[in-house]
Amino acid sequence: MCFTNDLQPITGVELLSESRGFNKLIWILTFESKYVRKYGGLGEVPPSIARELNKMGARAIVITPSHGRVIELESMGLAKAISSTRVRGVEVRVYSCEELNPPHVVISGGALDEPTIYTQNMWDKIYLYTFGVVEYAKHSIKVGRAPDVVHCNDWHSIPPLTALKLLFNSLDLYPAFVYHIHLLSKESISLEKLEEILIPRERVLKINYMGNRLEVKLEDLVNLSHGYIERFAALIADYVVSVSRSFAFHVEGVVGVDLSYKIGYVYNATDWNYVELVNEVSKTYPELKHQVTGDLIIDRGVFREFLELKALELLSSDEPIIPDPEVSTALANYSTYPFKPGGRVSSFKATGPLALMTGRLVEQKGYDLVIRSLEDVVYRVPEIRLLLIPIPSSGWRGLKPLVEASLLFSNNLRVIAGYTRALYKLAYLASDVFIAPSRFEPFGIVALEAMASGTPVIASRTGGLAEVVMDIREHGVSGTGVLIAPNSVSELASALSDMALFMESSHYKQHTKQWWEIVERISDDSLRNLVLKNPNAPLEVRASCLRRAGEFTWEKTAAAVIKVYSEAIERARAYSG
Amino acid sequence: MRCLLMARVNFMFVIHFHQPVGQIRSVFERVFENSYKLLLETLNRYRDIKVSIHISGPLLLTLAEKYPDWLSQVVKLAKHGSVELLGGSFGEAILPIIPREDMYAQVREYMKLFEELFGFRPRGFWLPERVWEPSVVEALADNGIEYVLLDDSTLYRSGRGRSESMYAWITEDSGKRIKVLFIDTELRYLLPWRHPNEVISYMASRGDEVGDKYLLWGSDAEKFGEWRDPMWAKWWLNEFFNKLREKRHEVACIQPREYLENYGVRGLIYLAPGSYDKMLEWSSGFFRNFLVKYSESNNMHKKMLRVRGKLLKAGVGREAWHYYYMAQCNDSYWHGLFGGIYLTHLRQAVYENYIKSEAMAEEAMDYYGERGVRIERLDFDYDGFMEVIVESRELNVYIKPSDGGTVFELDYKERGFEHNYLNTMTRRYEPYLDGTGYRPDWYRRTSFREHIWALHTTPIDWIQNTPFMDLSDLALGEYKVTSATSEGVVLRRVGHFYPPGGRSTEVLIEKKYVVNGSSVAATYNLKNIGSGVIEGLLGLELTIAPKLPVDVDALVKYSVDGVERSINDWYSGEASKVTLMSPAARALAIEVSSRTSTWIAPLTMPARTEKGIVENFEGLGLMPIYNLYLKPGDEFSQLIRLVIEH
Repeated sequence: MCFTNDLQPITGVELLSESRGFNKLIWILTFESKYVRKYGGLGEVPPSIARELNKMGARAIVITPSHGRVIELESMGLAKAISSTRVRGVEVRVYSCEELNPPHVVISGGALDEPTIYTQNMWDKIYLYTFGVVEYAKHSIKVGRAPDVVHCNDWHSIPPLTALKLLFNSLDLYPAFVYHIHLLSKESISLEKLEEILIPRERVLKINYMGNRLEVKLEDLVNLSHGYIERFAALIADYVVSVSRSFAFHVEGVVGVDLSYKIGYVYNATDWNYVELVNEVSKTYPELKHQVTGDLIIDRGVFREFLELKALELLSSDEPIIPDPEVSTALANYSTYPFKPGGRVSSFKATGPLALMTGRLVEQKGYDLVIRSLEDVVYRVPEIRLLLIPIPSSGWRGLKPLVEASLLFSNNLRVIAGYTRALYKLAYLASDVFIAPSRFEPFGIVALEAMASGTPVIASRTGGLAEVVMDIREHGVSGTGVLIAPNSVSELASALSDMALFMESSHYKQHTKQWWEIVERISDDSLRNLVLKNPNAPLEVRASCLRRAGEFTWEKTAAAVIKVYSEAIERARAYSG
Repeated sequence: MRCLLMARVNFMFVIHFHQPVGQIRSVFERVFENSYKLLLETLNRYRDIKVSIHISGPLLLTLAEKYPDWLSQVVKLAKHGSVELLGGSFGEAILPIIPREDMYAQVREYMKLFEELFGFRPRGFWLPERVWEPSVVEALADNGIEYVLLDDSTLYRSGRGRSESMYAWITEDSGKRIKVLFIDTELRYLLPWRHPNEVISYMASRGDEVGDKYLLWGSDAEKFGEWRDPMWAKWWLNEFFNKLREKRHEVACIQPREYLENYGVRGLIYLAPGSYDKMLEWSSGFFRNFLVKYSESNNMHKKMLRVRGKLLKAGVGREAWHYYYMAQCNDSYWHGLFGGIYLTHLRQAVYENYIKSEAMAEEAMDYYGERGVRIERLDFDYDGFMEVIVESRELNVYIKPSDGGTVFELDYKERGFEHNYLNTMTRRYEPYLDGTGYRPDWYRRTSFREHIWALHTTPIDWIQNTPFMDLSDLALGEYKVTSATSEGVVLRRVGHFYPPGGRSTEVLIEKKYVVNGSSVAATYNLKNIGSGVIEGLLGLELTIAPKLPVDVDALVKYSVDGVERSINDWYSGEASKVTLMSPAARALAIEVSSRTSTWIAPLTMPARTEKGIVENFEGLGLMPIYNLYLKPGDEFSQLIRLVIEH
C-alpha cells in the first residue's frame, strides 16, 4: 500500500493503472547509487525508483557523484564526458551513462573522486556536486531538455536543489521539486554556505507556502528555516516525501507542522526475490544445488550447516571488501581466533540456530545492543550462532567492540566486516532469524530483504520496521517476526532467544524428545503455545514472510511516486500562472 | 519496695545482655564470669532497686543450656518484681532489614522461647541495636508487644525536641500501634563512666516538680566487668545502687511497664528511621548503608534471601528455620565500636547456620533430583550485575563475573562440617585508621583473581597494597560468561598489560570453573593478542577462610607439600599443594597443575574493638606465582583446584 499526505490509501491496482504513460522527464538527485557507488539504503532506493519509472513510460535519470568510479565506468564504455566546468581550480566533469539501467549522469572531479562516499569534508564534495549538477542543467537546457520533476534525496542534494530552482526560475521554467527524506540530518544551512555555491542572499525564490504563492528572498528562507537544512528544503520543495507513516509524522514534527500539507510518504521496496536468491546461491555453491527441489523449496538446515561449518571459510581471496581503510589495516594481520588475516573468519565448530544482522555499522542500527544482549542470549540458548556482517565506516573504534565480542564468544559469534558477494545472500537463506534492533529506522529495507528470503525479523518497534514487520504474537502464523522496544537490551535478548528456539523447532521431528527440549525452553507464552498447537508454525511464518515482502515492490513504489509527482507538478504550475 | 512517688524524675535502668552467635567459648566464659555473674549478684543485693533486663535470643539459648541456674535466679527476681524482663528478637536480628515475615517470626520465636523458660510473655521489647524503621511496628504489635525502647536521636531526627524525649508516646503503622520510650543519650555517656554522684545529679537536674518525666538508660551489660575490669565494675555498681537508695526522693527507680501504667502516653508520634547516635555516625545515617559499604555484609544478607526462598519452597520444619533465624544475628553485618564484620568467627557462624538450613531445605525438596549440578545466572547481590551460582549436593560456588570473574563464596555442605571456605573479609577504609599508614585493599579479597605484578613485587607489596605494582587491569575487570553448562562455567575477557613507559598490550584471558564432587577447579588460559611483550609475575590469587575453632583451644594450620606451618606464618617458596587444616572443618587442599613459586600470608585487619585497635585475622592469602613472558601470540595455561578432603 502507498499513501500520500492525505493518508488516503491507494491500492496497487489503482496506482498502477493511473501511472502508465507518465511520460515526464525526471531528474533524480542522489548522493549514492548502487550502479555507481553504494553504502546504504540511499544507494538502493532512488535508482530502483528510477528504473521502475522508466518502465512506466517516464524518462528518469539518476544524477550522482562519481566517488571514484567514473574512470572504471568510462573504461567499460559505460560513461561518456559531456560537459565540464572549472570551480576553484578543480575541473568538474559531467558524464552521461545512458547504458546503465536506469540511465545515470555522474559528476566527477576533485573530492568527488574519493572512493569513500561519506567523508569528513562532506561540504567540499557537496559544493562540487552542486556545480556539476548545475553544469548538467545548463547543458540540458542548451539541448532543449529541462526536467518536469527534480526529485532530490536527502540533505546532500539540497544545495543542488536550491541552485537548480534558482536557475530554472530565472529562465521562467518551473519544474516540480520533490524532496525525499530517507534519513533526517542535523545539518545546518547558512547564507555563507549558499554563497559558496555562488547563490547570493538577495536572490528570490518562488515557493508555495500554505496554499499561497510567495516570492521570498533566500535570506528570509534561511531565517524561516532557523538555519535547519531540512526545513529549508521543505520550504523550497513542492512536496516532501518520507518513507513510512510514522517517519512522516516525525518529519512533520521536526521540519514544521506548518508544512504538513505537503508532507507524505511512500514505502520503499526490495528487489529481492526468493526464487532469484535460491538460484543465485545454488549456482555459487554447487554443493547446495541438490538441496533445492523442483519447486525451489530448500532444506534450511542444510543451508545453515553449510554456512556455519564451511562457507564462512570459502570467501573469495578479495573478500571481505572493507570500505573503511582504518578497519582494513587493522584486520589485515588480525589472526586471533576466530579471526583470520584480512577480516576473514573460521567456521563455527558446531551448527545451531542462526541469527543474522547486516547493515551499516552506525549507532542507529543497534549493533551494540546485540553485543550487550549476548551474555543473556548465550546463557539461554548456548547453541545459538550469530553472524554479523557490518559495513564499517567509523574506523577501528566502531568495530572493535564487535571484534572483541567475537573473541569472547568464539563459540557463538562471527563478525565479517565489509562486503561479501555470495556469502551475503547465502546467509539470508541459511538464517533462522534476522535482527534489526535499530534505535530508529525511517523505513528499514533490511527487514524486507530478510522477509524476501523467508527469514523472520526481530525488529525495533520504530518507523518503517513497525509498519512492515508483523508481530507473530499478535498475528500468529501470518506474522513475520517480533517487535521489540527500541534500545531495550533485555527485550532483544528475550526475543532473540525465543525466536531462535521457535525457529529451531522446525529442524526437528515434531514431538520427539529433542523437539520438546527446544519448545519447553521458549519463555514467551504466545510463541510457545503457537508452536505447541501448530508445530508447522515456523514454516508457515517463513511463508508469511515471503508473502509480506511481495507486497512491497518497486513497481508499487514508483506508482505512488508518480502520484506525488502529479501533485507537485500541479503546485509548481501555480508559479508560472 | 516502691520508691516514693514525689521524686523529681523517674529512672529506668535497662540492661541489655547479648553474646553473638558463634562467639568463642572462652570469651563467653570470661564475660559470664566477669560481667553476668557480677550483675546478678548486684541485683540480688539490691532487690529494692527496680531494673529491667533484656537477654538476647542467642544468649538466652546458651544460658538455658549452660547456665540454667543463673537464669532461674533472674526469673526469681522477675517474679518478685525487682526485674522486668523485656522481649527481643530470637536471633538478635536487625529487624528492618529482614523480610517482614521474618520480622514477625523473629519476635514470635523469641516470645515462645521466653514463655517456655519464664512462664509468661513480656510486654516490652528491646530492638536490636535500636535500629528503627516504622515497618517494625506491625511485627511487634501482632506479637502482643506493648512498647519498645528507642533512642532519643530517633526522636530528634523526626523533628521533635529534647523535652519530648522524657515522655512516652504512641506510634502507628499500617493500623498497628506501639508505645515508645526513649533512651537518653547524655545519660548513656555518663553512666557508668562518670562517678555515680555525677550521674544522679544529672538525672535529678533533668526532673521537675511535676515528677512525671523519665530518664531511661539502656545499654550493654558487658560495660560492667568486660569493657572495664570487674573490680571497678563492682565498686561502681555498689556505689551507684547505694546512691539510688539514698536519693530515692529525687530519682525514683521505675520499670517501663510501671511508668506506662502510671503516666500513660503523651500522644501520637511518627518516627523516621533511626538508631543511637554512634550507629547513625558509623552507618552514615542509615543502617542499610552497611550493606553497601561492606560487600561481605551484603552477601550475607542476600544469602539470607536465597536460603529463605528455598526454605519456603521446601516447607521445612522448625529446626531449619531456627538455623536461619540464628544466621540473622546482627553483630557481623556491620562495624562500629566492636570488631563486628571484621570478626571472622562471627561471619563464619552466620554462614554455618545459613548453610545448615539451606542443606536441610534442599534435602527436603530433593533439590537436585537426578542432576549432579545446578547452575543459575542471576543478580544475587542486587547490584545490577549478574552472578553465576553453581550448586551441587556437596558444594555451592558463587561466581561474580563483574568483579574479576572471582569466586566469592564456596560453601561446603556436609552435615557437621558446614563452612564457607571463602568467608574472607576485605580490609576497607575506616576513618579511625587515618594517619596510621594503613592502606585498605583496592580489590575484594575473594578467590581466583589475576594480577600481572611487576617483576620486583614482593609478598609484602601484595598484602600491604603497595600502589601501582599490578601492571594489568585483570584484577578488577568485568568478565563475560560465555558458557554456563553442566560441563563448566567459562568466563572470558580482553584485558590489558601496561608496561611502565610502554604501550599497552591486549591479553585474552579465559577461566573455566568446573565443580566436581567436593572440588572446584579453575582452568586458566591467557593469550597475548597484542603487539607487545607481556612480562611480569602472574599471580593467581586465592584468599581462603579456614574454619576457626570456637569451642576448643586449637590451632589452625596449613601445610606446604606436607610441611606444617601456623596460620600466622608467611611463606614464599615452591609448592604444588597447600592444605589448610582446622580441627573444626574438613581440610582444604589447593593444588596447582605444575609446581611453582607460591606466596602465602595471613590477611589481618587492624579493626577497632572495645579493647582498642586489634589485628583480626580475615583470611589466608595464597597466590601461585608464575614468571610470565608472552610474546605476541604466546599462550599460558594453568589449572588450580580446591579440594575439600574427607
